[in-house]
Amino acid sequence: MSSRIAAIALLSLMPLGCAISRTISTDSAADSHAKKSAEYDFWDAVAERSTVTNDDALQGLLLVAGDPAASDYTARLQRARERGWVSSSAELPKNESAEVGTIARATCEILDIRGGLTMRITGLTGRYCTRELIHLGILPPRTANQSMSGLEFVDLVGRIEDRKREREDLP
Amino acid sequence: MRTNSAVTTSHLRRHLGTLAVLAGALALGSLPLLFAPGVSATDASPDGELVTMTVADLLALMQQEAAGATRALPEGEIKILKAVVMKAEGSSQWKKGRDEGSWKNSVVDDTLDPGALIRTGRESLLALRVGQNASILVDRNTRMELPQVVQTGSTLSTTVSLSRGRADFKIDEVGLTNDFSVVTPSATLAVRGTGYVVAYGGLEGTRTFLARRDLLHAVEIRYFTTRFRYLLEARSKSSDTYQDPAVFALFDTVGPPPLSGTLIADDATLSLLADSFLREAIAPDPFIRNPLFDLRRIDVADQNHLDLESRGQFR
Repeated sequence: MSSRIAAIALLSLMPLGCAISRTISTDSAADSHAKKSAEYDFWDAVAERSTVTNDDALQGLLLVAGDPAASDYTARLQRARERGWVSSSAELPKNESAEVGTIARATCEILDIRGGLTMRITGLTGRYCTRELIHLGILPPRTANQSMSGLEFVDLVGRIEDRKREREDLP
Repeated sequence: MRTNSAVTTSHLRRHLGTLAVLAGALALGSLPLLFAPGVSATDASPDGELVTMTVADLLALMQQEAAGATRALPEGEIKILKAVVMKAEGSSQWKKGRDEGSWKNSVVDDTLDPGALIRTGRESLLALRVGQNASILVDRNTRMELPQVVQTGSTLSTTVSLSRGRADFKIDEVGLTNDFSVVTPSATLAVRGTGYVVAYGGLEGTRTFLARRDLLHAVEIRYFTTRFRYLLEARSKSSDTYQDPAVFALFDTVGPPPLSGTLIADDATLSLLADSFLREAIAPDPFIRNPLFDLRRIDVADQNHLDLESRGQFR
């Protein structure tokens, strides 16, 4: 009986363990390619990474949003908080893999996507922004806690641009 | 209509290399007149600035030259072709090869050899004419390579490698066999003669959809129309009802102005047209007053707007 309880306890803790461990890279592409003049190299470096870090994600999204290039991660995070991409209480380690939910939240803000009833009530949350982007066909099926590879992130940035262009082309 | 025409050649000679690359575009059907001056300049004016010949001769030469440009090569002969930048919007760069040269900002008329690498930035667009039979519109955030652009016998072989991003391809039928392939990290696509878009990204891999053929066509026409300058000299005579060859050419090319819409609503335009027709009708020889006609740019891409910058009768 006690072994059965122990097994159940272990099984219930396993998802928790999976959820809290995220990939941490040694550095970010934004470290060496933060300047506006190095934008090509920044995107090339990001595209080759197996996971996109919080630093790279914020740098890329700020570039797409047309925000002035921030000099370091602290400034980028501050700007992201001002725009509502990251809640003020959230800790985002610089080289930790970015969550799809965080990226989706920023994407919804950039594209001014209001979503459905739930999203309008809850505001921009990672979970519902992700679902909304999946619904709109901007993201393939994902969950808010997943990571993104660099190539996927660059692809998403292209789709954000396409969406922006479509909106501008509308009469 | 038989008309003597004079064509400036100093400007044209600079683009003869481009013309050789692009002559296959004649197969588009919509660009015949645009090639005429280049052909005449090549043959008739090795040292002079002006060439005088009839329009009919000019057209015949043009057709002959265009047909020659897409002729099959003898057995075993290989001809390396190039790509030329027709339009560069936003930021885009190219370099000669993986291990040679440095990145250079793309500008119109840049010529790229096989092996060239191309990259575009955000909100950018780069249009290329590749070899004799293909046009490519390289979209935003794209990395592309041109490993092979070559003619072997009667086959035009082109290979494009798309690492990421998106590009529109339009392959024309020019009388030779098209062997055009696009290679992405997850697929290889081959085509004989059509247009399509290939996109490759991390989210969904390789995707294909319909090409923006109209946009590509508009880019081609705009590129060619801004290449050349047409001058019709005072001695020109025409057997046509309209003695003024510029007026004839204009109406023959773009047709009369629309009867409704913005143009007719513009009083200034109406009076301008009326004035020009009146002068045309009463003048025994319009060239006496207007010795030189300079049709510098006729935007035939959009007939409804009749974007005209000309001197002489339409001033």
